[in-house]
Amino acid sequence: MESMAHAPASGESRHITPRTYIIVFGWLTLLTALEVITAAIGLDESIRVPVLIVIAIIKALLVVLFYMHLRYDSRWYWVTLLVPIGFIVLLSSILFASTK
Amino acid sequence: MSQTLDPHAGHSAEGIHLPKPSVTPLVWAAGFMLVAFGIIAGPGPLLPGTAIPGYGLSALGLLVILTATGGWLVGNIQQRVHASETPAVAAKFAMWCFLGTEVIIFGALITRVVGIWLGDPTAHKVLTEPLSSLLLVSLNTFLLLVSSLSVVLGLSSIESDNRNGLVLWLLVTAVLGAAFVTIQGFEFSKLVSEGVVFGNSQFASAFYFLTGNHGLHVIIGVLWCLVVVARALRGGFTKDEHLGVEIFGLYWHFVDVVWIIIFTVVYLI
Repeated sequence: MESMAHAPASGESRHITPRTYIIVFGWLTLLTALEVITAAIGLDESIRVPVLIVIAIIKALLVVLFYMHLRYDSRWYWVTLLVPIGFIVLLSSILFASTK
Repeated sequence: MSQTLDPHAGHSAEGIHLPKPSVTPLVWAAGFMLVAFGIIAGPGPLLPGTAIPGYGLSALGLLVILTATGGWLVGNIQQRVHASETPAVAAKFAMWCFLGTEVIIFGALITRVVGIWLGDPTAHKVLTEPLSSLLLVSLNTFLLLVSSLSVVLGLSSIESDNRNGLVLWLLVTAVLGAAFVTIQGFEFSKLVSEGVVFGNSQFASAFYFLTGNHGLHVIIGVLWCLVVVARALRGGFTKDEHLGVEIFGLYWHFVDVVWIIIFTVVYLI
Protein backbone atom coordinates (compact mmCIF):
# COMPACT_ATOMS: atom_id res chain seq x y z
CA MET A 1 0.00 0.00 0.00
CA GLU A 2 1.27 3.44 -0.89
CA SER A 3 2.57 5.90 1.64
CA MET A 4 0.02 8.23 3.12
CA ALA A 5 2.29 11.11 2.20
CA HIS A 6 1.81 10.29 -1.47
CA ALA A 7 -1.65 11.74 -1.19
CA PRO A 8 -1.90 15.03 -3.04
CA ALA A 9 -1.59 17.84 -0.57
CA SER A 10 -3.49 21.05 -0.92
CA GLY A 11 -2.77 22.82 -4.16
CA GLU A 12 -1.70 19.74 -6.07
CA SER A 13 -3.72 18.97 -9.14
CA ARG A 14 -5.98 15.93 -8.93
CA HIS A 15 -6.90 16.35 -12.59
CA ILE A 16 -10.52 16.94 -11.68
CA THR A 17 -12.18 19.68 -13.65
CA PRO A 18 -15.45 21.51 -12.87
CA ARG A 19 -16.89 19.58 -15.82
CA THR A 20 -16.29 16.29 -13.98
CA TYR A 21 -17.94 17.70 -10.84
CA ILE A 22 -20.98 18.77 -12.86
CA ILE A 23 -21.24 15.38 -14.58
CA VAL A 24 -21.14 13.66 -11.17
CA PHE A 25 -23.83 16.05 -9.96
CA GLY A 26 -25.95 15.11 -12.99
CA TRP A 27 -25.67 11.43 -12.09
CA LEU A 28 -26.51 12.14 -8.44
CA THR A 29 -29.63 14.06 -9.45
CA LEU A 30 -30.68 11.36 -11.91
CA LEU A 31 -30.18 8.60 -9.33
CA THR A 32 -32.12 10.57 -6.71
CA ALA A 33 -35.03 10.99 -9.13
CA LEU A 34 -34.87 7.26 -9.84
CA GLU A 35 -34.96 6.55 -6.10
CA VAL A 36 -38.01 8.71 -5.53
CA ILE A 37 -39.84 7.15 -8.47
CA THR A 38 -38.93 3.64 -7.26
CA ALA A 39 -40.29 4.45 -3.81
CA ALA A 40 -43.43 6.18 -5.09
CA ILE A 41 -44.70 3.65 -7.63
CA GLY A 42 -45.24 0.99 -5.00
CA LEU A 43 -43.01 -1.81 -6.25
CA ASP A 44 -42.94 -5.05 -4.32
CA GLU A 45 -40.67 -4.87 -1.27
CA SER A 46 -38.46 -7.70 -2.56
CA ILE A 47 -37.53 -5.53 -5.56
CA ARG A 48 -37.82 -2.05 -4.08
CA VAL A 49 -35.50 -2.51 -1.09
CA PRO A 50 -32.46 -3.95 -2.92
CA VAL A 51 -32.86 -1.44 -5.78
CA LEU A 52 -32.96 1.50 -3.34
CA ILE A 53 -29.97 0.20 -1.37
CA VAL A 54 -27.87 -0.26 -4.53
CA ILE A 55 -28.74 3.25 -5.76
CA ALA A 56 -27.87 4.76 -2.36
CA ILE A 57 -24.50 2.96 -2.32
CA ILE A 58 -23.72 4.21 -5.86
CA LYS A 59 -24.62 7.79 -4.87
CA ALA A 60 -22.51 7.63 -1.70
CA LEU A 61 -19.58 6.21 -3.68
CA LEU A 62 -19.84 8.98 -6.29
CA VAL A 63 -19.59 11.64 -3.57
CA VAL A 64 -16.77 9.88 -1.74
CA LEU A 65 -14.74 9.07 -4.85
CA PHE A 66 -15.09 12.37 -6.73
CA TYR A 67 -16.18 15.13 -4.33
CA MET A 68 -14.08 13.85 -1.41
CA HIS A 69 -11.32 12.89 -3.88
CA LEU A 70 -10.81 9.42 -2.44
CA ARG A 71 -10.29 8.13 -5.98
CA TYR A 72 -7.17 10.26 -6.18
CA ASP A 73 -5.98 10.45 -2.58
CA SER A 74 -4.00 7.98 -0.51
CA ARG A 75 -5.52 4.54 -0.01
CA TRP A 76 -4.83 4.93 3.70
CA TYR A 77 -7.85 7.21 3.87
CA TRP A 78 -9.96 4.23 2.80
CA VAL A 79 -8.87 2.46 5.98
CA THR A 80 -10.30 5.23 8.16
CA LEU A 81 -13.60 4.81 6.35
CA LEU A 82 -13.85 1.06 5.81
CA VAL A 83 -12.83 -0.05 9.32
CA PRO A 84 -15.74 1.74 11.07
CA ILE A 85 -18.16 0.73 8.29
CA GLY A 86 -17.09 -2.91 8.72
CA PHE A 87 -17.49 -2.55 12.48
CA ILE A 88 -21.02 -1.18 12.12
CA VAL A 89 -22.03 -3.85 9.61
CA LEU A 90 -20.69 -6.57 11.94
CA LEU A 91 -22.43 -5.20 15.02
CA SER A 92 -25.73 -4.54 13.27
CA SER A 93 -25.66 -8.04 11.75
CA ILE A 94 -25.18 -9.54 15.20
CA LEU A 95 -27.94 -7.31 16.58
CA PHE A 96 -30.45 -8.14 13.87
CA ALA A 97 -29.61 -11.85 13.99
CA SER A 98 -30.11 -11.93 17.77
CA THR A 99 -33.48 -10.11 17.63
CA LYS A 100 -35.04 -12.42 15.03
CA MET B 1 7.61 24.38 12.05
CA SER B 2 6.36 22.59 9.01
CA GLN B 3 7.38 19.15 7.79
CA THR B 4 6.05 16.33 5.68
CA LEU B 5 5.62 12.84 7.03
CA ASP B 6 7.56 11.48 4.11
CA PRO B 7 10.64 13.33 2.90
CA HIS B 8 10.07 11.83 -0.56
CA ALA B 9 6.54 13.13 -0.78
CA GLY B 10 7.66 15.84 -3.15
CA HIS B 11 4.96 18.38 -2.47
CA SER B 12 4.84 21.62 -0.60
CA ALA B 13 4.22 21.25 3.10
CA GLU B 14 1.38 23.64 3.64
CA GLY B 15 0.51 23.61 7.31
CA ILE B 16 -2.58 24.03 9.39
CA HIS B 17 -2.60 24.67 13.11
CA LEU B 18 -4.06 21.91 15.22
CA PRO B 19 -4.05 21.72 19.00
CA LYS B 20 -1.60 19.37 20.71
CA PRO B 21 -2.87 16.00 21.99
CA SER B 22 -5.18 16.60 24.92
CA VAL B 23 -7.11 14.66 27.57
CA THR B 24 -9.96 17.19 27.31
CA PRO B 25 -12.16 14.99 25.07
CA LEU B 26 -11.99 12.21 27.66
CA VAL B 27 -12.96 14.62 30.45
CA TRP B 28 -15.80 15.95 28.29
CA ALA B 29 -16.99 12.40 27.65
CA ALA B 30 -16.95 11.67 31.40
CA GLY B 31 -18.90 14.90 32.02
CA PHE B 32 -21.52 14.06 29.40
CA MET B 33 -21.84 10.57 30.88
CA LEU B 34 -22.54 12.04 34.33
CA VAL B 35 -25.13 14.40 32.82
CA ALA B 36 -26.82 11.47 31.06
CA PHE B 37 -26.84 9.28 34.19
CA GLY B 38 -28.30 12.19 36.16
CA ILE B 39 -31.11 12.66 33.63
CA ILE B 40 -31.85 8.92 33.70
CA ALA B 41 -31.93 8.93 37.53
CA GLY B 42 -34.32 11.92 37.45
CA PRO B 43 -35.51 13.87 40.49
CA GLY B 44 -35.56 10.83 42.79
CA PRO B 45 -32.72 9.97 45.18
CA LEU B 46 -29.50 9.01 43.47
CA LEU B 47 -28.97 6.05 45.77
CA PRO B 48 -31.43 4.50 48.24
CA GLY B 49 -31.20 6.27 51.57
CA THR B 50 -29.47 9.38 50.25
CA ALA B 51 -30.92 12.86 49.88
CA ILE B 52 -28.98 13.69 46.74
CA PRO B 53 -31.31 13.81 43.72
CA GLY B 54 -30.32 12.24 40.40
CA TYR B 55 -30.16 15.68 38.84
CA GLY B 56 -27.28 16.43 41.24
CA LEU B 57 -25.20 14.06 39.15
CA SER B 58 -26.13 16.07 36.05
CA ALA B 59 -25.05 19.27 37.78
CA LEU B 60 -21.72 17.65 38.64
CA GLY B 61 -21.36 16.55 35.01
CA LEU B 62 -22.04 20.10 33.81
CA LEU B 63 -19.37 21.39 36.20
CA VAL B 64 -16.88 18.87 34.79
CA ILE B 65 -17.77 19.90 31.21
CA LEU B 66 -17.43 23.62 31.97
CA THR B 67 -14.10 23.12 33.76
CA ALA B 68 -12.76 21.03 30.88
CA THR B 69 -13.96 23.61 28.35
CA GLY B 70 -12.28 26.42 30.28
CA GLY B 71 -9.03 24.48 30.48
CA TRP B 72 -9.20 23.68 26.78
CA LEU B 73 -9.77 27.33 25.83
CA VAL B 74 -6.87 28.55 27.96
CA GLY B 75 -4.57 25.82 26.58
CA ASN B 76 -5.67 26.56 23.02
CA ILE B 77 -4.96 30.28 23.36
CA GLN B 78 -1.54 29.54 24.85
CA GLN B 79 -0.75 27.19 21.97
CA ARG B 80 -1.79 29.78 19.39
CA VAL B 81 0.63 32.26 20.92
CA HIS B 82 3.42 29.72 20.36
CA ALA B 83 1.79 28.21 17.29
CA SER B 84 3.36 25.29 15.53
CA GLU B 85 1.87 23.85 12.40
CA THR B 86 0.69 20.37 11.56
CA PRO B 87 1.67 19.04 8.12
CA ALA B 88 -1.05 19.09 5.48
CA VAL B 89 -1.06 15.31 4.99
CA ALA B 90 -1.40 14.75 8.74
CA ALA B 91 -4.23 17.30 8.90
CA LYS B 92 -6.17 15.52 6.14
CA PHE B 93 -5.55 12.14 7.74
CA ALA B 94 -6.76 13.54 11.07
CA MET B 95 -9.94 14.74 9.36
CA TRP B 96 -10.52 11.31 7.84
CA CYS B 97 -10.03 9.73 11.28
CA PHE B 98 -12.62 12.13 12.69
CA LEU B 99 -15.01 11.20 9.89
CA GLY B 100 -14.39 7.55 10.82
CA THR B 101 -15.72 8.27 14.32
CA GLU B 102 -18.71 9.99 12.76
CA VAL B 103 -19.39 6.82 10.75
CA ILE B 104 -19.70 4.94 14.05
CA ILE B 105 -22.11 7.52 15.52
CA PHE B 106 -24.40 7.71 12.49
CA GLY B 107 -24.05 3.99 11.83
CA ALA B 108 -25.36 3.24 15.32
CA LEU B 109 -28.27 5.69 14.95
CA ILE B 110 -29.23 4.36 11.52
CA THR B 111 -28.99 0.77 12.81
CA ARG B 112 -31.44 1.72 15.56
CA VAL B 113 -33.96 3.02 13.01
CA VAL B 114 -33.54 -0.07 10.82
CA GLY B 115 -34.04 -2.30 13.87
CA ILE B 116 -37.36 -0.59 14.64
CA TRP B 117 -38.34 -0.69 10.99
CA LEU B 118 -37.72 -4.45 10.86
CA GLY B 119 -40.03 -4.87 13.85
CA ASP B 120 -42.72 -2.62 12.37
CA PRO B 121 -42.37 -2.13 8.59
CA THR B 122 -45.12 0.52 8.51
CA ALA B 123 -43.65 2.71 11.26
CA HIS B 124 -42.02 5.18 8.87
CA LYS B 125 -44.96 5.60 6.49
CA VAL B 126 -46.01 8.73 8.32
CA LEU B 127 -42.84 10.41 6.99
CA THR B 128 -43.65 9.97 3.30
CA GLU B 129 -47.43 10.00 3.17
CA PRO B 130 -48.99 11.96 1.58
CA LEU B 131 -46.81 12.27 -1.52
CA SER B 132 -46.17 15.97 -0.82
CA SER B 133 -44.16 14.97 2.28
CA LEU B 134 -41.94 12.72 0.16
CA LEU B 135 -41.45 15.51 -2.39
CA LEU B 136 -40.50 17.96 0.37
CA VAL B 137 -37.79 15.63 1.68
CA SER B 138 -36.67 14.95 -1.89
CA LEU B 139 -36.31 18.69 -2.44
CA ASN B 140 -34.20 18.90 0.71
CA THR B 141 -32.03 16.05 -0.56
CA PHE B 142 -31.57 17.91 -3.84
CA LEU B 143 -30.55 21.09 -1.99
CA LEU B 144 -27.83 19.17 -0.15
CA LEU B 145 -26.58 17.64 -3.41
CA VAL B 146 -26.36 21.12 -4.99
CA SER B 147 -24.51 22.37 -1.92
CA SER B 148 -21.92 19.61 -2.36
CA LEU B 149 -21.47 20.71 -5.98
CA SER B 150 -21.03 24.34 -4.90
CA VAL B 151 -18.29 23.31 -2.42
CA VAL B 152 -16.23 21.52 -5.08
CA LEU B 153 -16.78 24.39 -7.55
CA GLY B 154 -15.49 26.73 -4.83
CA LEU B 155 -12.46 24.46 -4.41
CA SER B 156 -11.91 24.49 -8.18
CA SER B 157 -12.10 28.30 -8.10
CA ILE B 158 -9.35 28.69 -5.50
CA GLU B 159 -7.25 26.06 -7.31
CA SER B 160 -7.46 28.46 -10.27
CA ASP B 161 -6.49 31.34 -7.96
CA ASN B 162 -10.01 32.76 -8.14
CA ARG B 163 -10.75 33.81 -4.55
CA ASN B 164 -13.95 35.65 -5.49
CA GLY B 165 -15.26 32.44 -7.02
CA LEU B 166 -14.47 30.60 -3.80
CA VAL B 167 -16.38 33.18 -1.75
CA LEU B 168 -19.35 33.11 -4.10
CA TRP B 169 -19.67 29.31 -4.19
CA LEU B 170 -19.22 28.96 -0.42
CA LEU B 171 -21.92 31.58 0.16
CA VAL B 172 -24.19 29.51 -2.08
CA THR B 173 -23.29 26.49 0.08
CA ALA B 174 -24.14 28.32 3.30
CA VAL B 175 -27.50 29.50 1.92
CA LEU B 176 -28.38 25.99 0.73
CA GLY B 177 -27.37 24.50 4.09
CA ALA B 178 -29.53 27.06 5.91
CA ALA B 179 -32.43 26.27 3.55
CA PHE B 180 -32.00 22.55 4.29
CA VAL B 181 -32.24 23.12 8.04
CA THR B 182 -35.22 25.46 7.62
CA ILE B 183 -37.13 22.89 5.57
CA GLN B 184 -36.20 20.20 8.09
CA GLY B 185 -37.60 22.41 10.86
CA PHE B 186 -40.82 22.79 8.84
CA GLU B 187 -40.98 19.01 8.40
CA PHE B 188 -40.48 18.46 12.13
CA SER B 189 -43.24 20.93 13.04
CA LYS B 190 -45.61 19.23 10.57
CA LEU B 191 -44.82 15.82 12.04
CA VAL B 192 -45.35 17.07 15.59
CA SER B 193 -48.75 18.48 14.60
CA GLU B 194 -49.60 14.99 13.29
CA GLY B 195 -48.69 13.41 16.63
CA VAL B 196 -45.19 12.18 15.79
CA VAL B 197 -43.57 13.51 18.96
CA PHE B 198 -40.19 12.63 20.50
CA GLY B 199 -40.84 10.05 23.22
CA ASN B 200 -44.25 9.00 21.89
CA SER B 201 -42.91 5.95 20.12
CA GLN B 202 -39.61 4.19 19.61
CA PHE B 203 -39.61 5.13 15.96
CA ALA B 204 -40.36 8.82 16.60
CA SER B 205 -37.54 9.06 19.15
CA ALA B 206 -35.04 7.26 16.92
CA PHE B 207 -36.10 9.35 13.91
CA TYR B 208 -35.75 12.72 15.65
CA PHE B 209 -32.46 11.72 17.27
CA LEU B 210 -30.98 10.64 13.94
CA THR B 211 -32.26 13.46 11.72
CA GLY B 212 -31.82 16.07 14.46
CA ASN B 213 -28.22 14.97 14.91
CA HIS B 214 -27.70 15.29 11.17
CA GLY B 215 -29.36 18.71 11.16
CA LEU B 216 -27.01 19.79 13.94
CA HIS B 217 -24.08 18.71 11.77
CA VAL B 218 -25.47 20.81 8.90
CA ILE B 219 -25.78 23.84 11.20
CA ILE B 220 -22.16 23.38 12.32
CA GLY B 221 -21.19 23.02 8.65
CA VAL B 222 -22.94 26.29 7.75
CA LEU B 223 -21.12 28.12 10.55
CA TRP B 224 -17.81 26.56 9.50
CA CYS B 225 -18.53 27.55 5.88
CA LEU B 226 -19.05 31.17 6.96
CA VAL B 227 -15.74 31.09 8.87
CA VAL B 228 -13.99 29.89 5.69
CA VAL B 229 -15.72 32.70 3.73
CA ALA B 230 -14.58 35.25 6.32
CA ARG B 231 -11.00 33.96 6.06
CA ALA B 232 -11.16 34.21 2.27
CA LEU B 233 -12.52 37.76 2.45
CA ARG B 234 -9.56 38.70 4.67
CA GLY B 235 -7.17 37.48 2.00
CA GLY B 236 -6.76 33.91 3.19
CA PHE B 237 -6.23 30.97 0.81
CA THR B 238 -4.29 30.96 -2.44
CA LYS B 239 -3.88 28.65 -5.38
CA ASP B 240 -1.19 26.74 -3.47
CA GLU B 241 -2.51 27.09 0.10
CA HIS B 242 -6.16 26.22 0.58
CA LEU B 243 -6.07 23.25 2.92
CA GLY B 244 -8.76 24.87 5.11
CA VAL B 245 -11.18 24.74 2.17
CA GLU B 246 -10.37 21.08 1.51
CA ILE B 247 -10.84 20.07 5.13
CA PHE B 248 -14.16 21.90 5.31
CA GLY B 249 -15.17 20.23 2.03
CA LEU B 250 -14.47 16.77 3.45
CA TYR B 251 -16.78 17.50 6.38
CA TRP B 252 -19.56 18.91 4.19
CA HIS B 253 -19.48 16.04 1.72
CA PHE B 254 -19.52 13.54 4.57
CA VAL B 255 -22.68 15.19 5.91
CA ASP B 256 -24.11 14.86 2.39
CA VAL B 257 -23.21 11.15 2.24
CA VAL B 258 -24.88 10.55 5.59
CA TRP B 259 -28.04 12.21 4.30
CA ILE B 260 -27.96 10.04 1.15
CA ILE B 261 -28.10 6.98 3.43
CA ILE B 262 -30.71 8.49 5.78
CA PHE B 263 -32.91 9.51 2.85
CA THR B 264 -32.94 5.95 1.54
CA VAL B 265 -33.09 3.99 4.78
CA VAL B 266 -35.47 6.19 6.79
CA TYR B 267 -37.70 7.73 4.14
CA LEU B 268 -37.75 5.56 1.02
CA ILE B 269 -37.39 1.94 2.11
